[in-house]
Amino acid sequence: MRELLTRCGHELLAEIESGELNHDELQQTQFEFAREVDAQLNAFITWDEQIEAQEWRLPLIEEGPRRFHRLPYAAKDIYTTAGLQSTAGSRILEGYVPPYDASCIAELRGAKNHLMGKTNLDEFAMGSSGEMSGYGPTRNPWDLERVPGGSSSGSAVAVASCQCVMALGTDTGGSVRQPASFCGIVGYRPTYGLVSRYGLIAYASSCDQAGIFARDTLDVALTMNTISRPCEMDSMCQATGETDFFAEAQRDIHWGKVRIGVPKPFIDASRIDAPVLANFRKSLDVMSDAGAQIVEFDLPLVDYCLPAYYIIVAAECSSNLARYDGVRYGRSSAEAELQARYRDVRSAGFGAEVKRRILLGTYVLSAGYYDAYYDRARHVRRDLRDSLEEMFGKVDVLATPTSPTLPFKLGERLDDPVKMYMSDLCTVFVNMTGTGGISLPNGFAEIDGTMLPTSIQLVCAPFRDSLLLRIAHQYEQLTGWRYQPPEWISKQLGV
Amino acid sequence: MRYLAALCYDQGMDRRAFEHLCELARLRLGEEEIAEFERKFARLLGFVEQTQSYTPVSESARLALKERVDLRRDHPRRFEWPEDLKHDYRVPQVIDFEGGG
Repeated sequence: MRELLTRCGHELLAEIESGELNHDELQQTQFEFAREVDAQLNAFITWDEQIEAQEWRLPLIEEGPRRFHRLPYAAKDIYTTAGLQSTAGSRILEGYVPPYDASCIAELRGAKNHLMGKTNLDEFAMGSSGEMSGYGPTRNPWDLERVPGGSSSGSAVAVASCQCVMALGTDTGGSVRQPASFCGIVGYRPTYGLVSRYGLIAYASSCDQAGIFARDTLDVALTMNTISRPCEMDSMCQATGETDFFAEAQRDIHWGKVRIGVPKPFIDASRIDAPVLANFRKSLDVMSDAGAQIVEFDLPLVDYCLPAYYIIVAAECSSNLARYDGVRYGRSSAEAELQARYRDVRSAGFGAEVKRRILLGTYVLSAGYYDAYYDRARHVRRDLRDSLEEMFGKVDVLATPTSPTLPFKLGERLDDPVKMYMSDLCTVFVNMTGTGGISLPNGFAEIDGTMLPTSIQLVCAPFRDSLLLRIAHQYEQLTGWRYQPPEWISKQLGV
Repeated sequence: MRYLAALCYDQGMDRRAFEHLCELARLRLGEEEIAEFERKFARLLGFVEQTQSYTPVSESARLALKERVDLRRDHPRRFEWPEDLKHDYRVPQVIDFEGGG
């Protein structure tokens, strides 16, 4: 039965509905395998031990649009889960058991999916490598000495190593798309407002967004049909729940009418590694050969986008994380004086990268620096949004590589935070402008005798996500994409 | 020590300013940690400094900021707390002021 664990969710669902596959057996097999390989990967922080006691009484075949249901999934440990520890990858929240489910979790629970556990991440989603977790680094299944990307490292690894069918992540600056690229799977960040953020432990609220890891675009669409629902608890949520993403993604497309914009800075060999760029150009050729029109354009704001992004998210993080004082949640202190107690708890509970971003945020928001940094960054953001809005009047989607580099070695960038931040070069403009983006595997490149995955990123205008998923699915059809796990995982699965 | 700006110069920051920044952020760093942070923080400041050469096209973001600046100043009020809570702050109940239950 283990060979089934490489399959996509929509394929498994079809077999469950036809009676060929018993979903209880699937769940049991999935859970056993996930625990077996996790000793080498460290993808999970907490397992949901209640999983076997759950009861499934929904009819096998549902009416209405198809959705992700009755399948095993995992969630980044930044989603609150009622009765199950939620740490955000931080020691400051160790032992914190929320009394409520995040909206996405509640929707998936309502559809009787099996939450297998909570996945590892860079502390409070601050990181691009999966090394900043308070619970140890996650390892890339394609090369255990390399990083899986971040911050949703555990979720990406869990899907890539067949520990679950689908996993939720969050994407504040590329934290779903970049690890998806490093692990060779599909990673999708919906337009800001298309999925509720209620119950996501906040990092930078104006950029935070729930995201999805899956083995193909149809599983992403299937999951969107479950989690993109109206939510009163998130005032920014504009989901109607009326779009059938799964059906939309499968609609045929006339490639001759598709216009794809390529920002020139992202095909600049001084910014993008040669093997990544070579595979990206091949992907463009595939779509161009099918009839798509490729339009290259300048985007000079890219030079300012990354530093402006780090100003904005640091400012929001210093404010959002002020609530962790040891009084209400997690770690506490015996210090009698209140201010000293705050300092005690925060200094011992937060890791180095979180402290760095809190300090940077405090700095850029302090009197005398607000205008110079924060206000200037807001201008960059506004102007970038205007530039893209103009561009989306001329093209249907944008295309870029997802990451400027291949997965790097563990520890390689820890000593230089700016070098680490450069990993987000191709992804942060999506978060700064609130658009939607998807990372699709587009090949492999060899480095030191190891084959490592690369990806292409497609970006849509805000709320044109149906079109984005449709183009993404058709691109997979053009390339004949089908996920194959790393060799050692295949051996363990017996395939 | 009112403004960090008075203590910082170029992209660097002296020890006193760094300690004040930690105070504002409610963090306490050890000597070794401070040395490490100072080095990496200077690199970060150099990185975000790149935005200074950008000439904004839009004016709308600045207009929104004006509304924020014009807000009234906060006025702290005295509050007598019981002897057994002398080490802690206590927030008075606001619900009474609003006529609630």
